Amino acid sequence: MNAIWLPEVIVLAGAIGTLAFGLAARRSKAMSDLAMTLALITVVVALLPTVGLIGTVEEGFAGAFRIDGLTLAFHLLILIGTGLVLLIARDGRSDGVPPQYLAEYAALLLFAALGGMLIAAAADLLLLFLGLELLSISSYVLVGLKKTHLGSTEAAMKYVLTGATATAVFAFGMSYAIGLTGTTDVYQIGQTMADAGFMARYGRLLFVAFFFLIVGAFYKLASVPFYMWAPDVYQGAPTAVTAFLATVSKASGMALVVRLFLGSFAWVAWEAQPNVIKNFWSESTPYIAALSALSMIVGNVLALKARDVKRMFAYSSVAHAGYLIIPLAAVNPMMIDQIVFYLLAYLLANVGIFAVIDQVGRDRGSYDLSAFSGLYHRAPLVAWALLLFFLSLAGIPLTMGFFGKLNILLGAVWGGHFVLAGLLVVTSVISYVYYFAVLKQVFMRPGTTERPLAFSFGTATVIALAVLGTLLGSLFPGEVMRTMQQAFDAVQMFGIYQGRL
Amino acid sequence: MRDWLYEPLSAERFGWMVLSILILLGVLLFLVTYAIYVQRKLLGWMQSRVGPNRVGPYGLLQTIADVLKLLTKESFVPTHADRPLYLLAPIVAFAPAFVVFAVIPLTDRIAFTDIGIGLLFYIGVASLSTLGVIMGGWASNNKWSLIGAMRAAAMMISYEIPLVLAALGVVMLAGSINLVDIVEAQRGVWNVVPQFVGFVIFLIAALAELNRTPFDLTEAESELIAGYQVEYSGFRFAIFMLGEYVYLFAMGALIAILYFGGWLPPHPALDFIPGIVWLVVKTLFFAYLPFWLQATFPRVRIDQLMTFSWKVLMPLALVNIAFTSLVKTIAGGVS
Amino acid sequence: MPSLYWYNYLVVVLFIALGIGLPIVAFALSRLLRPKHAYAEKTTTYESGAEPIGTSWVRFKVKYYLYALLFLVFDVETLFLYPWAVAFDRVGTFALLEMVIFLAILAFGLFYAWRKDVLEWK
Repeated sequence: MNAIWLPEVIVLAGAIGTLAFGLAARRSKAMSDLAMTLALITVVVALLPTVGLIGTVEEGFAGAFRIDGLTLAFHLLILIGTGLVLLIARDGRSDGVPPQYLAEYAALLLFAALGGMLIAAAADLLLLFLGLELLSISSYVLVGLKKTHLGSTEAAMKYVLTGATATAVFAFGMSYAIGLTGTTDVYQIGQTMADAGFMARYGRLLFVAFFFLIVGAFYKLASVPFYMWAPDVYQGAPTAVTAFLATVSKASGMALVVRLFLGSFAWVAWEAQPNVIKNFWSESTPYIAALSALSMIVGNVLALKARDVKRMFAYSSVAHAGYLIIPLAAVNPMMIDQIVFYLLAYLLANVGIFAVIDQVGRDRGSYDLSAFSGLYHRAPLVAWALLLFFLSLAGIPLTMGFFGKLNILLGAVWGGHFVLAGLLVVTSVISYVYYFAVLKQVFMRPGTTERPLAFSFGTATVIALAVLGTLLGSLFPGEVMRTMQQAFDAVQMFGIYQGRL
Repeated sequence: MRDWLYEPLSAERFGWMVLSILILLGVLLFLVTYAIYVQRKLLGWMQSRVGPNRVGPYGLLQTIADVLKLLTKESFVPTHADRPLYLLAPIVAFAPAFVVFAVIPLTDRIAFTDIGIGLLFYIGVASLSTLGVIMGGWASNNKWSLIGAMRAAAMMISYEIPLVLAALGVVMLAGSINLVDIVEAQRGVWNVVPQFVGFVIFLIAALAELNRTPFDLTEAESELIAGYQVEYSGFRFAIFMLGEYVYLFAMGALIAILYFGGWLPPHPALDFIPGIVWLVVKTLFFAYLPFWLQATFPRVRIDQLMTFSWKVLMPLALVNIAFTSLVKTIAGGVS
Repeated sequence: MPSLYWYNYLVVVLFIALGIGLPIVAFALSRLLRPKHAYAEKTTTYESGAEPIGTSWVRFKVKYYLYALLFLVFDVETLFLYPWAVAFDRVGTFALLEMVIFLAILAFGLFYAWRKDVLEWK
């Protein structure tokens, strides 16, 4: 038996160690800084066994904990995202977070990441829920960390209240699924549902369960119908936390949705009338497609009006959630690869942008669009990096984001969803408008100052890494995709009837 | 009596059940009446006074006279009180203290119920009486009452956990939370020997749960007049007091069962004395112990009270559990 | 032979009925016997003889709330410990290890709260 739980245990130990470090160093600032570094080291150390586990498909803890391609892919996404966010947070410590909470800041980021990792690894509804709650509760605190800042407090309050609602919705759906099938195991639920006559009896109720579960999980994705918290929370939270919510939290939500959809529901087929075989994914497709379409439209249109950059990225993240849901509606053999590739492209570009936003915002004391004016003259290299990130996010051809969107588009067309495919293209074009509004400020507007903007080491590292990753993905998308397919062979998601492993 | 639970129910049997519970209630009322007498006598002697000696021979009828006085005393509701809550509070404070007797076995033969989760039931129901205290304190709309009630809540949330954690050691030894099983598991040696630390923690936490000296902060006469009871008079006050004393006996019985072998005699040679006598003797001892402590200890401050629970009892209880499980693993050879 | 489950709870219900019934009967009895001469001064709130100032229905401070949160955490913990303690002989060393880890994390939580001065009544 491999030590399949090693990554989680390392992150947990690191989180507790960081907290303890903060306790030991209550009054010394240098020690609190070390706590941040410790958290960073934890993430790097946790990455090692995760990489080592690649290719493993194994279950532990009576089937509740499962390591497979999907788990490992999301583990890597979450760990990389958390590491980059920690780098931003480490340098952005003056961003309103009281210095005595630095250790908690780092530890909570680790706890949240642990929650996300548990979600990705859970094959049992209870563990899934536990991970979801760990992620959520840590995020609530993180959002409110700027204790003296009104916006941050307001954001935390709104986040807690809406989050509690979403959790309730999720738990309600869970109660249906567990009650009808009599098991908490995600795969067992799928198998019970596949029993003859089960869907004929409970079919309607299972759809209720499914939609409550999925909609509750969509909260983490910030997609329609649970997107309204995003703008206020993104705006109020410390910038590093915003980056965390936009990337790691979203990736975890995606893991949750994918695991539930593909593990329990998607492959169930039943005989609705004599000789008429229906299957779950084709029945649920119209509704998921509608949610996806709404997310794309709502996100992109509302972003047009935003003047605050963080707010704009909140709406943009709603739109991206819409793109990410498309493969769920358009079920096809490559869907997990599409989702993971797109998430990676999105994560790299977003983290890079938030690193810049953080530095600029702290320099100018504002997150308004105009804060970016003349950035090209102040920091030309960073401006070029920013250009790359925006192009990737917008999906301009020959960037990583473009290939991500292309994959999703092809998947949608393959699944026969021409409307979704069309919407993807149209809303992407709409998104150019607000993305280029920022670029216009950076390159074309004269700033109030020409003073060079110095980027601190951590932020510069984040930007460099993000540029590197995005360039790699842009230049060799096929290779990246192929490596992913080999490493995180997700085929086992598609074979629950041939046994679990 | 315990056999009744295993046989079909008839109207006659049901009647006996009700009657036996009524007898228990009567015995309890008698015990409470004389517990108050004993308390006053004991306190009197320890303070070189005589104690009550006017009503009846040796003052034996003193408490009965007090009850009669309370019965005929005016009992009004303050204008600003929350009327429904105010009226409900004494009942909520009293009922749980009595209900917990349902799970206390008197001997292995005589028990009202045989609930598998006896100890949990006891702990769960007993802490409800704090709710009555809080209701009364809040509904009175009186500052003394409110402070008293809030102190009661603070004490409950602090001492409940050491209490439960201490009892956990006993559960581990017996492998059951059924109180009969717990007593039977003490045939060889009483739990107080292997679980001495647990017993001390349990005793201290139980005193706090009972709101007895040195933890009688909720009614602290010298600072809060009478805490949550300030606005209660007449028989409503009497019911509060009754609940408190009934709980005292319930807790005494629980301590006797958990740590002192319940109805088991100290030595098998003493088997000829019926079990129920042993249990009653042990219960009375632990029910009267707080009176002794009342004469001995000063009252603690609220901050000392809270920190003592969280910083001393709680870690100690955790260590006790860890130690117990360790010893059991080594000694028992758990696979 | 197992006892019939609901008999036990029938007895509990009887206990509850008597526990509630006794005070009610007592109140009824005392209502018949006691005098009734309430007037405005008598039913004012008692405040050591002074005129009461304001209401006492006030909010309580956050410090108090932190104790309650700690209580919740540890109360759930103890509930989790009970089934474990009952099954202790049967579950083996693995469960012991799991519980030690669980307890260690919680003990760290207590330690953390301690160092963060949550346990000080101020």
